[in-house]
Amino acid sequence: MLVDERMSHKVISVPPEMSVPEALALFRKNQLRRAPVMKDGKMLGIVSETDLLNASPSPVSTLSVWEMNYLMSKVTVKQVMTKKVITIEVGTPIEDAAHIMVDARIGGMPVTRAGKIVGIITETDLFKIFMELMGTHEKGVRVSVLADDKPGQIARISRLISDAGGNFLGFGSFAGPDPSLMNVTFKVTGIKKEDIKKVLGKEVKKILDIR
Amino acid sequence: MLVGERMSHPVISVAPEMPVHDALAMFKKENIRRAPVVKEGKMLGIVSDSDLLNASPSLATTLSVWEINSLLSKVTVRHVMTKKVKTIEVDTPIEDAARIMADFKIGGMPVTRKGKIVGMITATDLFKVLLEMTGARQKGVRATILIEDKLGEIAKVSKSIAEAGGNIIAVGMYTGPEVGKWGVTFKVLGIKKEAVKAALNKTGKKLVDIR
Repeated sequence: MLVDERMSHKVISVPPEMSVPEALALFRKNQLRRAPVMKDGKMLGIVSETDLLNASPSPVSTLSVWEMNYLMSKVTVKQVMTKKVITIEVGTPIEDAAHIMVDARIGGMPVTRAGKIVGIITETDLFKIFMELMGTHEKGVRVSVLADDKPGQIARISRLISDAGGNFLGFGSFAGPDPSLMNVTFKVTGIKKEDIKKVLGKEVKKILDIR
Repeated sequence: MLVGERMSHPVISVAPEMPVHDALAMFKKENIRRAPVVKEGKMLGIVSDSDLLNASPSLATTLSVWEINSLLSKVTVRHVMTKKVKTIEVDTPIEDAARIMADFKIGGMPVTRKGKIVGMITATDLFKVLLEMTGARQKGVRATILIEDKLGEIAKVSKSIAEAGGNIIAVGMYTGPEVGKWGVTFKVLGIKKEAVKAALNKTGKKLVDIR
């Protein structure tokens, strides 16, 4: 799965001259947490809700509230935006987006094609992908097992389940409690809980959870 | 894979009497974005960095800056926290955490065991789980194919890869670009790209992407 298969296409951008209070109002109305700052089709930066909130007047200011109000209406997006924007190209594996978001501690980024913005990918998109990979949108039996982490293990488990009539709706393998073990969690239909226990009984170390 | 296996703990909590300024400083120091508000072991609410930043004086106030300063030092976490807290029990499937965060547009929540807080699960934790289940932290061949929505398809393909000597470390399935088909992404170690390609060709499935 690639970034462009699950990104949001509708990108709401803000002009650099927009005042901070106006931008905040726009963010609230559209439930945004970040928006690229665009001028004449060119991206100048990105502005987050936190950038905007941080631009609120410092309480240690010695200005009167009248002066403050006047000045605030003059503070624009351009002054508080982040100029170095992390972007991701269409055609990049979706897990690379997760990687970048973890490392850079960001909640979303613009998606580009040959440098031009064509969408935005956010944490909400990734949450949905996660649900999809685990098959949450369909009914079935969800199983977690602990198995030896050895070559061919995933092929073996999937073989046993399908030989018994099970059809996979979701699949995930994770690190186990120690390096020799892995946690395999999947969702299946067409096979009963008891039969899953029966066919996997010998192959896996332990059935952790079945529901 | 359950929430308790990938949550963060111990939990950094704040006291309801903590001034907003002190809480903001603590959030920066600890690199956190939200914290449960706890008094005598009981959770009263949750406070996010946006709640704290929003507590900055309203631009529409008619107070003088001296009055603002004096009031602001009196504004505590209790005044700005959210009282209705979304929580998740420790033995809930991890994908349910993703669903709640996507539905409520929140970036994290306390994890409870019988109502008592035992950890926090955040967007970052979920991104890491996503990386784990896609095998993104490991080098290898990543291949995506289209399969029919019928019994035994994944087993057939994984068997072919295993027979070619490949070790499948991750399998992800998602609704494909074609109706009635699944996109399945495999991450394979131990064999070269060409060998993976050959093994997949043997199954007759359409190869969408290989890298």
